[in-house]
Amino acid sequence: MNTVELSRVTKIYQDKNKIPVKAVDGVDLEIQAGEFTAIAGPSGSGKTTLLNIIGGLDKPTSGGVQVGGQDLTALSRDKLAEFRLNTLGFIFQAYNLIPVLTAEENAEFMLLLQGVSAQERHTRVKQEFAELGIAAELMHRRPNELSGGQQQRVAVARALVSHPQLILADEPTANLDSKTGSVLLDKMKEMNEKKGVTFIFSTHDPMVMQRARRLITLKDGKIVEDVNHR
Amino acid sequence: MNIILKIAWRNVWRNPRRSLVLISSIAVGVFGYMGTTAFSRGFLNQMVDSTIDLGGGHITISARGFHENPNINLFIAEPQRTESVLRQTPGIRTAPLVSLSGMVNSSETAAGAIINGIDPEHEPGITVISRSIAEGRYLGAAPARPEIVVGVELAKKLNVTLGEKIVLMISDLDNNISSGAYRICGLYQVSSKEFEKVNVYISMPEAQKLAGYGSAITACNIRLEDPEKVLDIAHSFSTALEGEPLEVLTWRDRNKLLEMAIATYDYSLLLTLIILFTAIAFSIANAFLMVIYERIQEFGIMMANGVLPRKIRGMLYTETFFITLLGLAMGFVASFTVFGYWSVAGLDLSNFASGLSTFGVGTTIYPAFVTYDIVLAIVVINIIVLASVLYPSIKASRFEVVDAIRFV
Ligand SMILES: Nc1ncnc2c1ncn2[C@@H]1O[C@H](COP(=O)(O)OP(=O)(O)OP(=O)(O)O)[C@@H](O)[C@H]1O
Ligand SMILES: [Mg+2]
Repeated sequence: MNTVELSRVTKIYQDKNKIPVKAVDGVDLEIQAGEFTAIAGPSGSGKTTLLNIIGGLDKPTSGGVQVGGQDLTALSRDKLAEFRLNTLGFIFQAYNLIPVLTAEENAEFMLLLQGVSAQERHTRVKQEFAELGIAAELMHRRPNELSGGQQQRVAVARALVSHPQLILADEPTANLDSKTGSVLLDKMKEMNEKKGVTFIFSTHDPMVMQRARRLITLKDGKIVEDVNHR
Repeated sequence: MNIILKIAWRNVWRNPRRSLVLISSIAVGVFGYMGTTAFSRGFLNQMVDSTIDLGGGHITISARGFHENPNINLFIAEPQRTESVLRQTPGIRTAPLVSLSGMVNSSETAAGAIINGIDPEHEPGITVISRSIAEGRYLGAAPARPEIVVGVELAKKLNVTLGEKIVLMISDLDNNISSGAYRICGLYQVSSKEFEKVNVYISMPEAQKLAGYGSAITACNIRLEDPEKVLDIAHSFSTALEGEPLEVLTWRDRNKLLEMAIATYDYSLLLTLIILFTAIAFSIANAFLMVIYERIQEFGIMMANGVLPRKIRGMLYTETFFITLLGLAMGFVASFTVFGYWSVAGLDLSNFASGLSTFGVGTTIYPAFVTYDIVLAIVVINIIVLASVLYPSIKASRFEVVDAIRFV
């Protein structure tokens, strides 16, 4: 079953001088449930744009986007928000957290919105923090009291604890040292294998590319290579 | 606690200085509003009190037309019937009155006067004159010689003092000049100098003799134990006295101007409130426009994590609501402290407003708090402030998530 189906997706931005920029250019892509896929490519090649379109954060200029059987281009803003809450986990390149909430509150944010009980939230967050190597004394700090890497891991925890079907991670290891990055990837791989969660990364990191089972390479908004290491 | 509420509350304290400026501006507005209305209410209350305390109690029964045109020919010929109706009504005090227009003469000069013929035993239950004696004493029950109580201001004007004699003159029922000499036994002083200048008090039999009334009187004045019942009781009198050539007037009927001032007060108060807070609303709207641009990024993160756009709006409304509540609380605490003190101690305005006594309220004002005014402030201020963040909030919830996330 395909979890993600993009057909001839194009995204054109207007820059400040009204010159059109083709961030994504006629991409056809099918990703099956349970895949562990990395999207690589040089800076500006359209990786973030593509992830945003898959996550329903951005609308394509043209083309079709189906995720989990839903046509995202046809959903209202409210329905898109619901879709993200219940099926997606998002990890952004930077600035992931809500500044007035503590690390713990940020991590349980989606669980709160989903109405998960306090007991359950606490257990899940505690376990996730332990596995991601987030020290207990960091739980009650706010994002501005955490390092970039610590913030990134809290964001990962937030995506993982909500048990989504699909996790979109935009350069998740960019702010991490290689050891922490490696732990994180192992953790994700485990979730992928045990629970069948689909992962799509964008990355420059060879470590991520190595572990990905499928590696898609973008250049100037087009897919130039699509390798399956299965 | 709901996570959106939690974020809203913490956002209030994120930039404490900006929030405190907003909170204080609301508090200052509330303080100004409460001051304005507490003094106005106090002033109106005191005018009502003086209308009742000086002008003949809560209800007056007199010959029909007397209030419009006080004329010696308009009197209650058989007061017994009226008195028997009054006797059947519990919770009231009554006193008869003979009211005559005439002249008062001292050896030096003369002045127009309203001559009040009263029953010294019952009259103290109606007006405050008996308790307002500045010099001498109130009228005796059965004095050997005719005596009179006059206002301090009138005594000054006539240049007379306690113990001196003055002469009252009226044109009686038969259009003949009727006069009598009275020794001043007491000087009274009340909140209204205008009142003091014209009202003099003699015993009722003396007044009846002066007018040639026999046992007739001008009016029955009534004071209620429970002023709230004034309309009901006045109505029951009208019904009981149906067919008699009498009119039953409440203090509101006697002072139409005051009645109108009270009736229109609520509207003018609402207007004041709206004008005051519309000005404040602009600064709040402006602050929130800044706030949303500072926070676009996190709105993006929240929406990306499944927060509905309307919850983003709700969050901003909630934050505003918290700020408003804090402002209201601060404003009310300050108002109750300051104006509350004056409501007990009174604020003496004699240095600024000697003209106040013209209104019959004295120069000391006691501000008064009215529940309606407080509720009105809470409701209207919340509406205006929430309306002021309507536009910023809608704007915040309309950001495209990607733009919000890329916005740095
Ligand atoms: N809002 C926007 N307005 C104009 N141009 C944009 C906008 N967003 C992206 N672009 C352009 O689209 C192209 C693709 O951007 P995108 O962020 O997807 O690249 P990327 O592959 O994620 O790059 P990086 O590795 O640096 O994160 C770039 O040329 C970028 O300048
Ligand atoms: Mg990118």
